[in-house]
Formats: sequence, structure tokens, C-alpha cells
Amino acid sequence: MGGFHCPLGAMAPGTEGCIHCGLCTAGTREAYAKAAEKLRAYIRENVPRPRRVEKIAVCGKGGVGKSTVTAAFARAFSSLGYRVLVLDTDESNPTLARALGLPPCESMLKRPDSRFEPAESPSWLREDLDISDIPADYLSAAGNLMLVTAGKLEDPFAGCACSIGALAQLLMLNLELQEGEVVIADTEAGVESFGRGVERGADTVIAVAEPSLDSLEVAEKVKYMAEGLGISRFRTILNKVPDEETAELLTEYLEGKDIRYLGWLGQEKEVVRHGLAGTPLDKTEDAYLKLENMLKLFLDENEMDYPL
Amino acid sequence: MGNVLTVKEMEALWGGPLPEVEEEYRILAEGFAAGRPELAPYVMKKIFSYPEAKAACALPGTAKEAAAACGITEEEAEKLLEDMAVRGKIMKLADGYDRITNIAFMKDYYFAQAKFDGEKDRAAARLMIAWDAFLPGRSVPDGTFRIVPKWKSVKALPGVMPCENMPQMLLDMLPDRIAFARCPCRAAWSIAETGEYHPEMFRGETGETGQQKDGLCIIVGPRAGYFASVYGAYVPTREELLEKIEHIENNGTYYTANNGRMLMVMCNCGDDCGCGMRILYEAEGPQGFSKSRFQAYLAKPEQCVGCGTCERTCMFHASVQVKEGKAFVDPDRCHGCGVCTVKCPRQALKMKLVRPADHIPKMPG
Ligand SMILES: Nc1ncnc2c1ncn2[C@@H]1O[C@H](COP(=O)(O)OP(=O)(O)O)[C@@H](O)[C@H]1O
Ligand code: SF4
Ligand code: SF4
Ligand code: SF4
Ligand SMILES: [Mg+2]
Repeated sequence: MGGFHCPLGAMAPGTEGCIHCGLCTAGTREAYAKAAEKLRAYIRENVPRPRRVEKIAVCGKGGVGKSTVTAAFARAFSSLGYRVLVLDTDESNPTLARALGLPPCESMLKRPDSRFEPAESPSWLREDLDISDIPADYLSAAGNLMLVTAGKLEDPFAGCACSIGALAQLLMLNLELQEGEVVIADTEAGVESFGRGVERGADTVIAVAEPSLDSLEVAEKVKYMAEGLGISRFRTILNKVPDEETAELLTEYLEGKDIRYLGWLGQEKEVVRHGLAGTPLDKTEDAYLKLENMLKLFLDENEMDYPL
Repeated sequence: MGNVLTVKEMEALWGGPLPEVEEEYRILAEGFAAGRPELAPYVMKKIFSYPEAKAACALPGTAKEAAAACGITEEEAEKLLEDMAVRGKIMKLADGYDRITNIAFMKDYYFAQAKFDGEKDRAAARLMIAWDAFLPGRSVPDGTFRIVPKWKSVKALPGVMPCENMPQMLLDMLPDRIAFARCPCRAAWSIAETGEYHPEMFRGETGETGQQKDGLCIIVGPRAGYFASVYGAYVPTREELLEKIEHIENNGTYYTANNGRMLMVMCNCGDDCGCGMRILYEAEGPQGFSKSRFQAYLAKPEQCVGCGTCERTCMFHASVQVKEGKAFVDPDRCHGCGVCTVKCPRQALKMKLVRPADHIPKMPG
């Protein structure tokens, strides 16, 4: 519709919607520049954007590629300029630290002072927790990329899976993130345990799925359960897809179910090779670049910047 | 038509020998920043009666001030001004009235409301279009507007941005920042050519009937309230808006919007939609309009039966054509509106993302 004189859609200065920026009445170049600046500031503040992505839970069946995706997303976030905290809740293996290229970190559960009953928690783990409140001992970090491990079952007396879950969940819930900070939790949540762990504190759930009906159904159920938790931002990533035609079939399946996806990854030799070597993907490798691109698309969907 | 109209051309637009033009019309014409200066006083004369022109010359101001300037009573002035405001000739403000000084707006306001004045309006429409023709095609900077794809055609794709979700942006305007009106561009064009509004002469299943409620023009943002209260634009309920969106998602028009992240103005355009786009077409193609970030492609060649629906419905200079029995999309021409994708009876066409997020400016230029 045609009344274009006002960028904000006011009919005339002083009418409904006018912020008195002065653009439409500016007589000089300086006045115009000043008005434009005021207008820009207003628009910057008022561009409708979805709630910022802060806490992502990566879910899916065991072995689908959750740790691979988590690590690549975390590194991509970090190179785009975000401060990233990776929360490892996997009780059973050290893949994540390796895939991130970070030394393994002291588990929160292995320290003597943090032996606690499921109902207790360390004193620092209070509400409105800042990332920098996490004791450095528990963190493994390089630059703006940080890893905290919520527990390993190496020491059978250190705790049970339940307390690990409780601790990780508390951390996820209590963290109060600043703009430019994100948390990505690598979960063990299949359908059985979904909703009992870190995903409770998440604003985004990413389900990794393989090209099997089983895996797709898990994604579907997880979406349903995430919605039940009030998490409407749900995305799927398809992993280990043999070829493009299969990818097409899979994405059509997802479209039919109204499940949004970020992209797909093939059977990637590099992933296997790095997995065996215990090293992170090279940032120039195809698999990494594809995942990085998926992250960028996801940020675009949420009207979020790449600060770097 | 050349840059300066000949007397003969102006007579054709006016509909007879050019009359004498009183001083008031010249004053009003001067208020318009750009256009065809030789035509402006005649447009004014066609639109404003002489007493109206006199009162309009006293603006900006109140009815009291206009009454004093014209030597009429305040009640008379009030009635005159109110009537002009309702007809889209002047603007009504909180503390008085003001002139409209852009012909494109005046044309929109004038034809957004429902009443017509027969032959007089026909000539006015002809004149305004001719004047308008001089404006948007050549003076709208590149990338002022942007094609927004049919939501249906892109909604499943990764990377779709909030400013590409037209249904949601429209729903976000509820309850009082949205109104429906008859499309003034199409109305002006139709009236210029036939003297009446014939919605059936337009492509793209507009759904227009002449009723504001059925109109394809969706006014968004703060001005919706003005359109509703002054021009009788229709304020929809949520259900009515959803119905409208469903209609437009499936029809043959395409969305255009201001080229930014925040929706401030939108249109449901076509290559036949009246003024802006039509004239842009008759010139060298849509200037001022940035493409969407998407592009159509033949995703399922085996499903394409060469029926030509895509070619017929594409409003962008045949960006998609049937060649040897299969659809072929010219990626350079395709503006990414998604119409062909929605219209293909065999679901053979799809959209793909081809431009980065910063194709859509964060800030207006
Ligand atoms: N796209 C891929 N191509 C080939 N192998 C993969 C791919 N993604 C993951 N893998 C391999 O699959 C195994 C499980 O991956 P991982 O990320 O640890 O899954 P999860 O964390 O879900 O258990 C690892 O050996 C990993 O190297
Ligand atoms: S002053 Fe600014 S906000 Fe108000 S009408 Fe003019 S351009 Fe619009
Ligand atoms: S409308 Fe569809 S089936 Fe018909 S020619 Fe175009 S792509 Fe082929
Ligand atoms: S080919 Fe034509 S109808 Fe199809 S998306 Fe491109 S511009 Fe729109
Ligand atoms: Mg894992």
C-alpha cells in the first residue's frame, strides 16, 4: 500500500506511529542524517525477532552423531564470535572433548567436594549463574570455547547417572546468559529419558536423525515432547545419509510432518577418520563446512548476527 | 510518452480541450515535489472543485483558519475539509488538516475509498496514472522494495528468515495495525480504462469485488487505523485474516514488501496490478524491486508434464518457460516469488535458497 513517506508507516508527522524522528520534515542534509540515525536506532530496537537462541539441547538415539554435531556447532559458534559453553552430559565416553580439540576436563562429579546426593548441589551452582561463575577447575577452555563435563562414571562411587542428570539440568536451568553467549548440551536423551534432563532448560532442541524410520520417529516424538515442555524451536539434522535421493525422501518425510530441518550430512569419511584419531574436524573439511552452514542458516532463522 | 507531455497528449488525458486553470490549482500543484509539472495543475483541477481548492490552499491548518481564508463559515469549512479527507484528497490530522503532496499517495488514498464519481474519476485516474508513471519507475532507488516468496513455497527450507514469513508478519499486526481495502492501483487502472471498477480484468485471482473486505490491498502498520477510520478500510478478525492469507498463499499474485527486516508496507502485486508494477514492467523490468533470496527450479523433472501453468502464471517476464515439454527456469530472471511453485499442478517445481541473509538490509538505506 502506497503511503510510503514515513518509513514507520505513520500517515503524517504527529499521527499514530510517529516517533518524531524528523525525517519527513528534514530540510537540511544534517537534519536528515540526524533523523535517519534516530530512525535506525528505533528500528534496531524494534525489529521483530524470535526469542534469542541461548540454550540448545542436542538429542537423538545413541550413535546417530550427536557429539559430532555438538562439537561442530560449538566450534562454528565460537568462530562466528560467540562465547560457547558445551555441556557434556554423556556419562560414558570422552568423544566430545576430543572432537572439540580440548583437553578432557575435570568432571563436576569426580571432585571430592562435589560428592553429593541427588538432592544436593554445589554452592556455586545457584540461580542466575554467569558462565564465569563456573569454577575454572571444572572447565576446559580454549579462547571463547568452553567445555564442562557433568560427570563420568569412571569412579563407580562418585555418583549415579541420576545425580549427573540433576547437576547438568541445574546448570542448564540456572545459567543466565548474556547476549553473544550460548550453551550447547550434548544429551543422551532418546525418547525414553526425554524431558527429564538438561532439555528442560533449553530453548532449542536439535534432534539428530539417521535415515531409518526408527530414528525419524524418535525425532518426531522428541518434537512432540519438546513442545510439551514449551520448547517450540525444534530442528532436525539428518546424518549419515547415503545419497541425495535419500536426502530428498527424508526431507519430504519431515516436511509432511511439519518438522523443520537444518540440512543433511552424508557418510563422511573425514568424520570416521577424525573419530578414530580422536581429533577435531578440520575447519576446511566438507563435513565441518556443511555443519557450519547449517548453523548459519539456523542463526538466520532467528535473526541473529555473526559477530565476527 | 516523452518526458514532457505535448498538449495533444494532455488533452487526451484530460478528455477534451484543456481548460483555463485558476491560480489555486497552480498553488496546490506546486506542493508536489516531483512529477510532470505541466500536468500537475490539471490533475488538481480534476480532483478538487474550486471551493475545495480554495480551502486546500489554506492548509495546513484548522477548519477555522480555512474558513477565514475562504470567507465561509466554520461549519461550511469543516464539512468541505471532512469530505475531502474522506475522499483521499487531503489528510486529516489530530489538530487540523494537511495537504497530500505526493501523487502516488494521493492516488492510493483517492482510490482506496469506495465511492466513485463516474467520468470525472475516470479522467482523474488517467491523469494520476500518467503523472505517477513519471515517478516510481524511475525514481525509486534499487532495492527499496523486495519480493517476498509465497510462504508455502519456502516454509520448509532451512534458513528462512522471520522477515520472509509473510503470514506471521501479518498476524503480528493484529489487532489494530492491519486493514483490508480494495486495491487502489488496480482500481485506478480499471477506472482509467473503463470508467468503472472491473476486478475481473486482473490476473492472479485477486478475489477483489470492489468491497473493502474482499480487497487485496492489505494496509499494515500504524496507518491502518487511519485507513479504517477515514477511508472505511476493513479491520479483519484473526479468522478473517487467516482466510485472506490462505487465499493469497494460493492465488497468482506475489508479495512485495519494504526491503528490510521489519514489515512496514506490503502489497499483493502482479504484472497487471495497476500503477507501480505495471509501469515498471512496461519500462525495463522491475526496478526498485529486489529479488527474494530464493529461486524456483525444476526439482522433479519426471513429474513435469509440460502443461505450461508455470509459464502462464509467472509474472516476471517469463522467467519459467516450457521447452521441449519440460519447464525451464531462467535463474537470472527468476525473482523468487514462488507463484509457479504454488501453481504447478504436479508439484514439480521447488524453491531453493540462493542468497545470503545480508541480501536483506538490516536498516533502510
Ligand atoms: N556423518 C557421519 N559420517 C560417518 N560417520 C559418522 C558421521 N557422524 C557420526 N559418525 C560416526 O558415528 C559414531 C557416532 O557418532 P557420535 O557423534 O559419537 O554419536 P552420538 O554422540 O550420537 O552417540 C562415531 O564413530 C562417529 O565418528
Ligand atoms: S517524523 Fe519520522 S516517524 Fe514521524 S511521520 Fe515523519 S518520518 Fe515518520
Ligand atoms: S506447471 Fe508444473 S507440470 Fe506444468 S509445465 Fe510447469 S513445472 Fe511442468
Ligand atoms: S519462475 Fe517466475 S513465478 Fe516462478 S518463482 Fe521465479 S519469478 Fe516467481
Ligand atoms: Mg555422544
